[in-house]
Amino acid sequence: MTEPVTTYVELYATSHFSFLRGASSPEELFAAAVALGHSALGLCDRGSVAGMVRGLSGQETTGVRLIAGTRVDLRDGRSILLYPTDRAAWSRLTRLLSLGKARGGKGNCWLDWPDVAAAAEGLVAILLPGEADERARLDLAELSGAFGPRAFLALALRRRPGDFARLRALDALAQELGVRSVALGDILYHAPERRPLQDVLTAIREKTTVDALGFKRERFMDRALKSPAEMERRFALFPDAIAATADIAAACRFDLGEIRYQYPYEQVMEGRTAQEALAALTEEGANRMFPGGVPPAYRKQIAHELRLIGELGYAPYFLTVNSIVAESRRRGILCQGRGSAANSCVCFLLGVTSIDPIKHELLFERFVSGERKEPPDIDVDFEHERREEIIQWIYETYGRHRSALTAVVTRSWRRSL
Amino acid sequence: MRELGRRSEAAAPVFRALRSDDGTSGGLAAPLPPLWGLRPTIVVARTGQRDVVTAACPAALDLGLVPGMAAAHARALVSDLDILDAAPDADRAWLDRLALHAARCWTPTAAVSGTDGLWLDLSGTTHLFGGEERFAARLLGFLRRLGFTARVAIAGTPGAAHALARYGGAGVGILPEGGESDALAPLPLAALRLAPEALAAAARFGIERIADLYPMPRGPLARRLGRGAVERLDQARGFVPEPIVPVVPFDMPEARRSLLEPIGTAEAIEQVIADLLGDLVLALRERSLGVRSLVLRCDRLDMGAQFITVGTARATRDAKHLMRLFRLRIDRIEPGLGIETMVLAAPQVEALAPEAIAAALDTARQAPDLAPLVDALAGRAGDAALFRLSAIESDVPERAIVRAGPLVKPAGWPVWPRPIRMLARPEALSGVVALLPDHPPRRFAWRGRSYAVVAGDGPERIHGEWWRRPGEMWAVRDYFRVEATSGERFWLFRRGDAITDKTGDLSWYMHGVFG
Repeated sequence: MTEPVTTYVELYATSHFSFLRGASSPEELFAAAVALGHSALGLCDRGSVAGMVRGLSGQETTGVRLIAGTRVDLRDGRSILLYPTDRAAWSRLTRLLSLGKARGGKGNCWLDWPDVAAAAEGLVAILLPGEADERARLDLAELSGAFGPRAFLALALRRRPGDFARLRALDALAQELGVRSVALGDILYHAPERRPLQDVLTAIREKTTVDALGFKRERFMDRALKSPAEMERRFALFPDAIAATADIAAACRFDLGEIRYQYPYEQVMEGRTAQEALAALTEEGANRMFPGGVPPAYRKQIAHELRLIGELGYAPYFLTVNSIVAESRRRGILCQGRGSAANSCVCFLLGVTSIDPIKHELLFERFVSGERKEPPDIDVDFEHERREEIIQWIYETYGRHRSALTAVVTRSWRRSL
Repeated sequence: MRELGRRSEAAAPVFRALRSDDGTSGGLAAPLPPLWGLRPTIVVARTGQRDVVTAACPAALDLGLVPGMAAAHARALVSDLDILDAAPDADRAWLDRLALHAARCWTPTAAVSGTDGLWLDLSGTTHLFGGEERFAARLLGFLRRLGFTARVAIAGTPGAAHALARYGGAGVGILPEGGESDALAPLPLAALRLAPEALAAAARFGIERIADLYPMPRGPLARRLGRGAVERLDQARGFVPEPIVPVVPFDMPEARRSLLEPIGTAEAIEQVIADLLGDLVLALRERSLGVRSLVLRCDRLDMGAQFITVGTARATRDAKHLMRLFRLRIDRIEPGLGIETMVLAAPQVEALAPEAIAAALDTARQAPDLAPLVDALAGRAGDAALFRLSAIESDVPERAIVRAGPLVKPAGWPVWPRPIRMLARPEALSGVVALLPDHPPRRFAWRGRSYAVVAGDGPERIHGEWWRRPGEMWAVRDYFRVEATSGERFWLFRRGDAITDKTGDLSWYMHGVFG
């Protein structure tokens, strides 16, 4: 027997990155999705895209395509699912979330309708309605106005009385406003066995016990991931809502894998790339260090280091550290590089460190290596009396929104008697 | 001023050791067995993350275990140790009882002091007991019989008595008039009831004895240790008065009428009850109390007594309403040869603030007060016959309803439709024809009749409450609302979700009938 051909795509799965709501990890959701025969899975956590990295690893292990999305709960009570169609829309979405989080503080995401409407370009929006009432009509009309053909109305079974009557009314409302409705599973866990865990999570969230939870528990039932065929059977009355899931999945081609870490733009010399600037600065330092001509051992080592730095694209980082150290030298503030950076001849010639790695036969690969897929770090100590001056200079030069100060509190735990 | 101090032992284990059935009168006066056996005993309480010793018996004190040390430390020092859990509430209850006893028997002004002592204001009372020394001896004897080791200190100020009882050595200490400053001088600072911050500050400045405080200038002292510390010092030395807030024994509100002539007619009895109620209501109003139940005792000439009791649904002191309740019961009194004395007592009272009269002047229509009606109905039908149904937040229909008191405001009902009539227990259906997994039945038979279904809604999925019984862990009921061809609407359910076996066996039940 062959698998029936299905078009349904689950667009609304909540992982445990919706803190104390979802009861399954993205990996578990993807593993269950591939077992049930899904081709793609939409991961939507509340006011967050924190689960996407894990979702991406789920996509890599299972081959089920990750559709990145998020659920935003507006302060007026509306809930909307947002899916970016391309990378620019993803940027708008994450910027929208940053705005809400900066406003709401820890654990909150405070957004209002104008914020969402401003970020609408390139985003697919699905309204999660309550009942098919005047409120839903107004919200949907507003959504349709802002998102145009990319606005949808969610149909999800709740397993509560009057389920189908509610869905029919919602579908009629959507048709009346010229909006397509879309079937959603509203998934909270990957398998029915997770339901008790979900109750426990809700109890923790509500700061009560499971016994005392009452109606604060999740009221809508049947929230485990289901197969596409089962979903199509359930939504047999709404074929267009099934087709809409596939259309949305097809529109959201944004792949999280496109995103790479980008080092911030660093000021370099006019007309030169960062790599060329670094090479020039190193050359200058070498000539200063060896006025009588640079020894061949140094030449070789510098060439080797610059090649590796060039391959890995770390030149702007070296330039950043160099400009901070140069500024501190200019002001006469003592500073000293330390740690693994002392293995680098480039750092030595730039004056960041003061240990000659050739003389002491230090291995550059301990600092930067093609094998190690992690960026280098250069520790620099500044004279503590005047460290504040350098901190202020960094704030002025790079801007407060791009600088961060970290602190470590060392605590030793003593077991109580 | 008198102070009973118990420093080293908690009351609870003492009374656990007491046997009430040892044949002696009341049990309390019997000579006690040794309170702690051969093994040293400590009492521990949990504070934050650690168990701390709060009390230790003399044997344990001799071994170097002191209150305040960690329980684990004590266990490490002494291997053979009896460890009991502290019961601060029980300790407090005993202290309250002792204070009440003192207020009834020894002095009108008695109060609990801290967590381990009593204050008795002895001004003008000791001569009744033969002087201070004899009173103190009597007090110690009384407490010994109860099983307490106590220390008594008599001083001119509560603060000095507190300090001497706890830090002044064993037995009885009686301070002559005006000797407080000298007596306090050698005691540690902790004797002054200072705040922990003040004690810590004092330790930093190297102040150990109370005497160290005497020569210090008061301004800097107040700045360093806080104003409270200076006040405590002055109170203990008698420069500043310190009032004791006494415990007040609670007396049952009561009204009594002794009659000149024995009475026997219902009219006469009613008149006396009305008079008694008038007296009682006055007393209640003075104390801001309302009654929840009243007991009327009628003493007859032949020494027999008759009792009638009325209860109210809400605290009240409305004489008219109470009279109505009594009128329902007057016929139950058998006067016999005649009633000599009638006593009306209120064994159950609640605080009831005076109502504002403005509410009565308000012309707006108010919801009628149900309480008098409830009382009248309960008077006829019995208390158990009146109840209101209230909702419990549970999705399982059998558990969603609870009987509540007649005046309790019921909790909100769930928003989903529920049948008007629920069967006490679900009844099995036979001959069910239904599509699985989520369609209502096409036809079924119930109580010998078969029904064909024209319309249905569902399923409404209700999961077992796994936290109540392990058997409900995976149980599922799918409820359907169906309409039969004959027009009836039923509430049916199927056990199991028809996908996995452990959720139920797919049997069908009738659970309720809509209108």
